[in-house]
Amino acid sequence: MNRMIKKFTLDNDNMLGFLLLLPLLVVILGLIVYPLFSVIWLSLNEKTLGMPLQFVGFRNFFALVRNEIFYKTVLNTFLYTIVGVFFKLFYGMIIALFLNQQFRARNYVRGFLLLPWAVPAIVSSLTWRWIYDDMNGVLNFILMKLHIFDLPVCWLANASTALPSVMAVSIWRHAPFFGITLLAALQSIPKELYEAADVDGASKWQKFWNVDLPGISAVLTVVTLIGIIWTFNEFQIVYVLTNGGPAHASEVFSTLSYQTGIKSLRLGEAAAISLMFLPFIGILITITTNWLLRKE
Amino acid sequence: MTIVNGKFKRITNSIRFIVILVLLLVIALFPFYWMLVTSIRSDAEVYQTKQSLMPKTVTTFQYKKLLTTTNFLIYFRNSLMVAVSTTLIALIIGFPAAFTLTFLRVRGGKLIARFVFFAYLVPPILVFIPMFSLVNSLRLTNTLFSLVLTYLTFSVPFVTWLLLSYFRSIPTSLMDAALIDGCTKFATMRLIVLPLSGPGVATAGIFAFTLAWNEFLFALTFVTSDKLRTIPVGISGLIMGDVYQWGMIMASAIMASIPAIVFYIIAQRFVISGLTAGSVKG
Repeated sequence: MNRMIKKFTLDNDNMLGFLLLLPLLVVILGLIVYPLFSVIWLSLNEKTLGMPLQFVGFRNFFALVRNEIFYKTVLNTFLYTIVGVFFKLFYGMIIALFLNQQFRARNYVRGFLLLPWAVPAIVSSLTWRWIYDDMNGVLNFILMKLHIFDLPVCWLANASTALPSVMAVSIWRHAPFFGITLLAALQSIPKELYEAADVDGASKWQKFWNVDLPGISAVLTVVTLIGIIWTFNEFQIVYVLTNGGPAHASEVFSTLSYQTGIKSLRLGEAAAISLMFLPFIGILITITTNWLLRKE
Repeated sequence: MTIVNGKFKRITNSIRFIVILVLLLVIALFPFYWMLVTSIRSDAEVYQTKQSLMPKTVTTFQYKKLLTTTNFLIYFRNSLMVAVSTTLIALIIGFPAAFTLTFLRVRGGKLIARFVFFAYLVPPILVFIPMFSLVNSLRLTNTLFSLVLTYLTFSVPFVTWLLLSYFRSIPTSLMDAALIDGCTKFATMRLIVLPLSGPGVATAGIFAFTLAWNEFLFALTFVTSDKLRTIPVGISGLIMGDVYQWGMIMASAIMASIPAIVFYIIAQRFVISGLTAGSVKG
């Protein structure tokens, strides 16, 4: 009898639960899983808008691996990600350690430091494009005033400075997020650990390595993983600042995919580009999900 | 001697503190200062060869130009409509889903919860190509509805995930008490969970709104008519002309930041908990 009731309520849960979950499942299956799978199919076809698909096998992939621009893009994307995430973490850590001290108006300072991350990305991208402007940009103005440069630098139009300039904006925008997340982790470290370290006569540096870092290692792992996924797929900042130029000097995976698929309307080839990067992103997402849900 | 040393150390410490503080603040805030200064200057002053870091004149000229010669107000309205609709639909879908995954025992519940997070991490750039042909075949290109529909891909998983971690803080004893009193499971959602989840829903809503307000890639791809553009794509279009109108563009940047900053101030104390969504607690 008891068992029957239990079974009944369980089924009841299942029925109600199914109904309540249905919209979520529709969204996930229809708008995320279906597109992910259709990328695979699309990549094996030639597709022009309004025309039926035309199966071409692996031709899109062959076209890619023979394309120099694709290699340049792969290199740029990894450079953008590795250097970007490193400095986001580094600068974020500085922000976190600084805010982890007691001082007056700390909450206001925290609010101000988080501002680059709080405004829409379009605002930071446009503002920085104006700051980098070669004719009237304030960056050149300041650098020339301080006699660091004699001539204005074309930050975004120069093949050697374009990618680093874009990276700097991405770091400026995202580092505060890392900082604030790491700060939350730092503040959850028990005070006793610091007291114990003081008793042992540990220096600041030793405290950082032996108390701070182990205390935030879990959060550090997660923000690093999420940071890699975000940075790897960043589109807007690159698109607005350089659109991958000049001559693909700052081309990354997302801008190449956009250019190929939407501007040139070669959807099959664009799908192939996505697919080349899919394994890497897929593995990262899986690792992140597993890591986050490991305790459950 | 040690006293002098101690005092000396205190002074150098506080100098170091101030230097770092100023440096961090300048790096974070200078672009905003420059945005503001540019937006209140006349064109002549924006483009003069002898620049100055301080504003000499204050004019609302750039704002007037923005509001009268561009579609900025239409972009603003479009953004508002899309962001509000997205937020509401995401909450309507996400709330019952999170309730189910937290309080009901459903087969495969854990797997679905994992899927929700997975879905949140799938970057739009991976799916926007097939979505583009999907939107095309549904004949939804150039509609605001196409944006609301596709924005659900990130807002629904995000809202669900955030509420999921919020609901875990609601004691199950409350639920048990209600069930013993003869409440149905569905009624507990309405009578117990909903009234208790105000802050959670507010946080989720604010974040969903912000994500939709800031979205760029889908808005750029699925909408081509200027009258249907949202703010991010609309104002990025202002730089495509032959003549850069940086004064006006910076005015638009200021205007576009206002809703985000207002929300940010309201939500600041939720920000950290929201960002980490209770899952990064380590």
